[in-house]
Amino acid sequence: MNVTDRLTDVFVLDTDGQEVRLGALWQEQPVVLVFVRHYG
Amino acid sequence: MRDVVNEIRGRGAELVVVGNGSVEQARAFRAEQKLPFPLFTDPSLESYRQAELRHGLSSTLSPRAVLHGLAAFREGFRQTRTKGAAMQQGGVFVIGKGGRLLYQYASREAGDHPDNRELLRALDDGSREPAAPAAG
Repeated sequence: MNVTDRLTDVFVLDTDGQEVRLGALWQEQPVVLVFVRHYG
Repeated sequence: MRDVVNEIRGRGAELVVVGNGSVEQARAFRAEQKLPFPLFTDPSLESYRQAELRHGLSSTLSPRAVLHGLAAFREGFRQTRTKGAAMQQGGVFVIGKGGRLLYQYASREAGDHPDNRELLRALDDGSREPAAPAAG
């Protein structure tokens, strides 16, 4: 299982607190996905 | 920075940044920085685990450094020095429509960071190849 397969069903929160499935983000378009350590 | 976001969007893609603070912190950061791209947060860190950022928070990027990197790209040079929360050991993934992994960046040493030109090249290369068949 590659990394995108593992990530696809993981949910994150948007800035309104709504759950978003990561896989939905690349369902319709390519994405550059960056993980950050903290804000600021 | 907006220029690089435009470079990504010009390729039909989107820049997505995932952090790990509270929703309130994410919202405040996005507003303060006027980020022109989606910002998400994952306090559970499950996405970090699945991305195998296995050294945990110490192995991920600071958003400020990401912005510095993008600015450096716009100005036409590769950033070689950082200060403060540096763009160091971390993970960046370029994922094609449908979930095909086009590019994965994993730093090997401090100060090593993804070259934005490589990210854009991965998008270009990915768009020239047929889309992966849908899983399932």
